[in-house]
Amino acid sequence: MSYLNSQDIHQFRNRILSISGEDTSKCIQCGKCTAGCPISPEMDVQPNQVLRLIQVNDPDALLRCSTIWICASCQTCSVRCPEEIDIAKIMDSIRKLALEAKGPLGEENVVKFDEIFLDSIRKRGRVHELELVMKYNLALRRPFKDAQLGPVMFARGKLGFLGHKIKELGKIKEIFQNSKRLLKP
Amino acid sequence: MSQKVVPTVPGFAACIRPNKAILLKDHYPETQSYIFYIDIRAAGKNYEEFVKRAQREYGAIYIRGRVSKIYEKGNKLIVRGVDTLAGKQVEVEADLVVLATAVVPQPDAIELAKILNIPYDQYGFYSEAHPKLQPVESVTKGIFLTGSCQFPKDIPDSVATTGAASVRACEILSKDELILDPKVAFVNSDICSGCLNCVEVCPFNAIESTRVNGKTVAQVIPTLCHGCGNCASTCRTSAANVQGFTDDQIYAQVASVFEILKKENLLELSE
Amino acid sequence: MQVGYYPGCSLESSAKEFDLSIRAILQEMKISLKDIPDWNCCGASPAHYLNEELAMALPYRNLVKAEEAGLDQVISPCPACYSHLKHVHEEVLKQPHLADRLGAIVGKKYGGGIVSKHLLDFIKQDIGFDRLKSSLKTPLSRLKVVSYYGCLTRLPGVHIDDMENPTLMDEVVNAMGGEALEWSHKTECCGASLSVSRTEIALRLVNSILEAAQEKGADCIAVVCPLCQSNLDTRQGDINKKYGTSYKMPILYLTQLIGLAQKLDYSQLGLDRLVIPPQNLLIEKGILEK
Repeated sequence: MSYLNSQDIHQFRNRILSISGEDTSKCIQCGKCTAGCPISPEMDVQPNQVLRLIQVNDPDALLRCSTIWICASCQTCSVRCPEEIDIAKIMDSIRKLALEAKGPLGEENVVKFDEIFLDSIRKRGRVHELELVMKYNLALRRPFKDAQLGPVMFARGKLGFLGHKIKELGKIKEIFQNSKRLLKP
Repeated sequence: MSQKVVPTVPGFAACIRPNKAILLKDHYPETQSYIFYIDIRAAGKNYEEFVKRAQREYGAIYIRGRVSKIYEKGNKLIVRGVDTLAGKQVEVEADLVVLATAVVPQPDAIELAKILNIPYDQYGFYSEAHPKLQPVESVTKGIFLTGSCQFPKDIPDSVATTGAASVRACEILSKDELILDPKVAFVNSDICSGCLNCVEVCPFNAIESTRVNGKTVAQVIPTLCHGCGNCASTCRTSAANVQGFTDDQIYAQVASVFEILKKENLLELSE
Repeated sequence: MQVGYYPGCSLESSAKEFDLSIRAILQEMKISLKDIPDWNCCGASPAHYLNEELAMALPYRNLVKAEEAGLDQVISPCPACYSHLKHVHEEVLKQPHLADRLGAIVGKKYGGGIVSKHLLDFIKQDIGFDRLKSSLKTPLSRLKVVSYYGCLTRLPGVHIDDMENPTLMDEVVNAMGGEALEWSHKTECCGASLSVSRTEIALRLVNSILEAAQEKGADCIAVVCPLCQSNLDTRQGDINKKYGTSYKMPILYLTQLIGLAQKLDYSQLGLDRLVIPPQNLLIEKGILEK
């Protein structure tokens, strides 16, 4: 058991403040964020607990949790918080920190999906949905998940087999190369 | 965006809610009350026991957490809240939802405060002259405060403050004469030009306009005056002054200070 | 009237009917759309935590391209695209050093001249209900519609309506002669991209939305978001299997409803692309002929 005072108790709160601009000290732990969160039933760490763990400088559980990845960014928590804390933004900040920490992630799937998503943009300038879903399911080694939707989607002309490549593709690749992750260690 | 946070006062909500839960259970034993709370500040005498009684004897369930949404489902109301102590979202399928909303001042409270010259806080509640030593007096002499105009007050406090305010009022009404602090303002109506600027700047409504010898002039109401000197410093003709601190008296004080400094060679004057 | 148009990636494929119906109804009202030339993906959700500068640079390029094409107003139907374009525009106006940085990444500076308009705002303010009503040929009488906004009204930069109880879509439905029903799940999350990565969560959420709509006696649900439409429409089969329900609730884009009221062609509005087919409902209500 490490003591609460073995490190600066404000350390993680300050980190989150500098990345997101949101001050978790304002949180009175009323729980309204958790109360309104649509994904709360499936979360391992509740939204108000996320803020509590930041307040008491306990980042480990947060960097490993699945909560930050299944958060749908619906902003319900942010708009209802009585202290006007943008909780969705804090979730986003912890995602950045979790990636940076390079440890095991709570939901590897979600990051995988998002990386394939960005890759599609890098290669085409736009997202090719069919390719995205197929690559994703392949990467997860369940190539036939959602396959039952295939025929009906095809019949409705929703599959878009070919995908599109924009003209200034070189420009897009440049943008990808020039853009830096802003997070400073 | 409407106000999201209002100040809470110990006692007020803490005594109302168990009260309702107990009343309900007494009349309708088959009911079950769920009370969502964040903090219980049961600060009054026996309030804490009252809350415990509601839980232990009348089965009221206290859930720590705020409610996020209430919506209709069929003929029920779904209350979606959270139990932060258990760490999860909870929903209650309710027949009746009672909202413990914030108590705020009347819409015209601020208008009244301006008429009476009473200061008020950012929520519109009236401020006492001194929160500890003068809890029922306003800064305007003769106006006393009691009840929820100051803050949401429960019955014992309302009774106590009303008693105190009444006594204060009787203090004035029972006397034939009032003893005042002599440091009040006065207006020399011979010099007064009738511009009435002093009336505008007086924070205590202690100056009024009147007619003397056919001329409009300002006149101080000594019983209301606090001797702050706003009128004296505003007056262009030096007609308004505070007793003991007239312009002439102040100039005389300054002049004598300069005399002393000159005599002691402490004065450096540039030519 | 001409207005710029940013379709976004989904409107090119799985939400093609949204694109088709917007183009059809605006053309009917003599408003011409000019697509932003060679537009790129806005970056949607993944970019902003994986690469912050990329998340801003991608929408920034679209703003640059829009300006190059001489546009001043741009409609982006997808809420995420709209939110990103608007947000980047607002941020670069507030922070000049950010504007410089993004200009350097993209290779060209954005002058700040693009006004992003949401579809609903455009309909209410620029088109106006009078003009909309005068373009209608078949009022949607007796069609009970619940309007599903999803998280639209809460997204950063999207200040178009009340966040908890929006009414813009309902106003449009009523203006078209439909009956907009009040209901509890206007802004309840559909699960968004969790539909792919954690399907069971999306199924649970969509189930409660469908349940609430059905309970109110809705004939159909109107939407303005490609992801919401996809989740509500394509997952009904899975939900029926998992929860033992029997939903067959058509999920239409608001623009498709407008097009129906304007008596435009069924497939021109992309109505044949909906997974839950709306024909029988529309015929029953007298909106479509057999």
